[in-house]
Amino acid sequence: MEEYFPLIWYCFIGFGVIMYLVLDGFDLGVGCLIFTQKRDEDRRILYNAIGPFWDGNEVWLIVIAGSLLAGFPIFYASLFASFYIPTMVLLASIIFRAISIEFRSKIVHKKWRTFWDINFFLSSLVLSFIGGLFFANLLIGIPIDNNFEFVGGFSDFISIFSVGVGLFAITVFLMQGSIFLLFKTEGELHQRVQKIAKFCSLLFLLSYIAISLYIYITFPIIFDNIFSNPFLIIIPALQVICSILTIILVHKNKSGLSFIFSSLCVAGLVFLYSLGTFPYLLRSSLTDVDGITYLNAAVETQTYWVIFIVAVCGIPCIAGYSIWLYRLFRGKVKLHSGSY
Amino acid sequence: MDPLFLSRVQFALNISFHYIFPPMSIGLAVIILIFEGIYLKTRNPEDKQIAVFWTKIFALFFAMGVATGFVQLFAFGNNWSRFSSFVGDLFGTILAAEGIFAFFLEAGFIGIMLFGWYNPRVGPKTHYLSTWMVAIGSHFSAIWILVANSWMQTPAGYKVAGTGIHQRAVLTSLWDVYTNPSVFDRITHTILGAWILGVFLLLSVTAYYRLRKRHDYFCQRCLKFGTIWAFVLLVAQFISADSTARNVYYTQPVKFAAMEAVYKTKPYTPISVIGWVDEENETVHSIKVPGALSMLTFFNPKTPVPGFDTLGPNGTPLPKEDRPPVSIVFQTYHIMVASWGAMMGLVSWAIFLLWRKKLFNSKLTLLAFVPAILLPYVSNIAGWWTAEIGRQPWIVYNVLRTSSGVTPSLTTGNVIGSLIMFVACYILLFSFFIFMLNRKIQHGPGLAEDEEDTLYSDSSKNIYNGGK
Repeated sequence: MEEYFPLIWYCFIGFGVIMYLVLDGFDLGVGCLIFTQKRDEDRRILYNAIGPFWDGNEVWLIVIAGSLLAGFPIFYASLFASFYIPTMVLLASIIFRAISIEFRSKIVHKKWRTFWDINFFLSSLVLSFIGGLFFANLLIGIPIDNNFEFVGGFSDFISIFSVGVGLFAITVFLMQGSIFLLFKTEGELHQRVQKIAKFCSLLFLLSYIAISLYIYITFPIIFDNIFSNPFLIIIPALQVICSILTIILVHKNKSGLSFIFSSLCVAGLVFLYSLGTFPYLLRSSLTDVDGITYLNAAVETQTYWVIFIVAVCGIPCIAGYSIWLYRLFRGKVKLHSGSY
Repeated sequence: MDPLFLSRVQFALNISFHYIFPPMSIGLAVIILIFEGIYLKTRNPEDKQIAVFWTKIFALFFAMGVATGFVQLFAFGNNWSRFSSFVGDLFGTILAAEGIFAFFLEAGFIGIMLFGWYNPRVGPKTHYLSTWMVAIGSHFSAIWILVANSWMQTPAGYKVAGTGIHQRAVLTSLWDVYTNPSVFDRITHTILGAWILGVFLLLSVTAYYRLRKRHDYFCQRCLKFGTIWAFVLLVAQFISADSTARNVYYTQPVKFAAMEAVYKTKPYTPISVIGWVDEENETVHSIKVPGALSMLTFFNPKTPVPGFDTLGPNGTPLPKEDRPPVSIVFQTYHIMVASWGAMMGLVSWAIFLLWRKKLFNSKLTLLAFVPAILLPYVSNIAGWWTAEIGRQPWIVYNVLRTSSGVTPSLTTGNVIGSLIMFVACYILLFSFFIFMLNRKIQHGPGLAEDEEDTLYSDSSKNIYNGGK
């Protein structure tokens, strides 16, 4: 049993990543969509749609980082030491994004609000892009030596592929964000949002196919795991089906179902990523160097016991009051004096 | 300038800037709990306004705390990768628990706390429950991070395993980690510090209103409560500080020696009231109270407090490379104590005036309260500098040196770049923050909600002209 502990923790982190991408995904998407609305009132509805939720969504990022530090400390250390500059950019955008939401509404002045709108848009966009950049480089590996020390430079992170995945990440969040807004808007705004959601979910499907083909041609190694077991081909197949269903459901204006299917698409991406990299957490792009796997980064059994207990006690509580929170603030956004 | 030094500067900058915000959330959370509790009893709308007002101020500090807090999470990996892989087992489990138990609690209920005032589905009791949850969450996050930090000060419940880069501190007893020798004193000391910070903001804002003759009811309630609450906390902090200092002596004698710059072990060890340290000649130029340090540590003025000349192995002098920067620790420690003294003096005077029913019209005292919010800030941050710089040259006391914790692949250029980025970000953030805080305070409690509503929609109509 105990030899499975690292694997169980690996799955837990995968679960955390799915939760983060599904939940923070929609508020990042709303950030990227802020300039699709011209009237201040409509923009305020967008801000207030994510108002009570975005903070809790971002906590999943903390959980992911904390879980990595606890369960795979060598990976955590190597990851953030290597991705020094991308992390700094990520941090700057997280800071300014949080502040934009809080500050924007406080002064009724056109220039002030436009300033924070730009801030919110750019920080959401950069955050999404850097997220994609992280995944892209983790997928194909980065130059680390036998001691797991980074031996490359910032330029190693930038390639056609990683920029492509960065843009793809934006399309993922655009889809999540626009579909989430279907719940929260009504009237004329709702019709506009629906059009945007149609476009975004179609964009997702197209870029998904494009990026998969690109990976297949340039980094076939990533498909090794999938082709080793033909049964696994069902995952990308299901993903395409979910994506098509999302488009159809958005067209039919079924906000709940379409959000479920678009979230399944996001979850599918995490499964595919994991299939593409397993058992590696961090591949080395240098030949003759083996990267960090979930086994050589694992910690002692006793530590896993502790974090299992934390997760088993904590997650049901989080699920409980998250559901309560989403229910309290369900329905269309109504603006009032306390809104953003 | 090497990456190690720059990384230390960057960490100090990040954590000190971050520390402007969360302690205030903790201190204000308690105050909101009290006033919202009063409102639930009286159902007086004016009491509600007090709670709503402090919630709005709280929201600002909370948002800043969240935004600047993310930096800390990644900083351990970015600049201190060897430290991270060394302590991940222990440190990570504590941080993961903090995220899952504390941050989610705060983040989940903060939405209800801020927006719930206006949501018909949220009744006053549900709202009060959310306020409790946010308060508990913010205290828990303080407790967890202090467990982690105290473990770095007084490590326990672990063993060192592996060699070279695979060397790690491995968990042996979770109980010992969570009850490491300094944890209780440090949690009490820090949380009291946060509560004092909160009440001084309350006093500062209230005194300002009172001087301007604004918000009479608000001032009546807050000024009286604030003075008493501040007095109680400052007295409690004295007791806690005394105990904490003794704990430092028993667990980290080197830090203790640095706090009072004890170079030579001799009877009647003095306390310096004010002065400076000549590190080269190992002398302290200061006004001294003879025997006071011995008295406070051992309850006997004769017993000598061990100085650097006997703190090395087997009573030999402690090598210079194993000492913290004595002069800095000495000063930060004394600044902390002096700020406490200033607060205690001011609040005691205010209590006297309150008893004589003169406080509400004593312009000078009120005038002193307005800038007095800086005192607990100075005290809190100086205290943390004492704790952290006093632990040097160790990152984990007597286990891992700071120089061994830094990321090996770090380049000077990278750290200078990130340092510039942080400084720029923080200057911007802080300016906006002060601007917003000032606006909220100027706006004050008061305006009834419907009045505010019309004000809001009217002005937005004017500016956006309806829009198309």
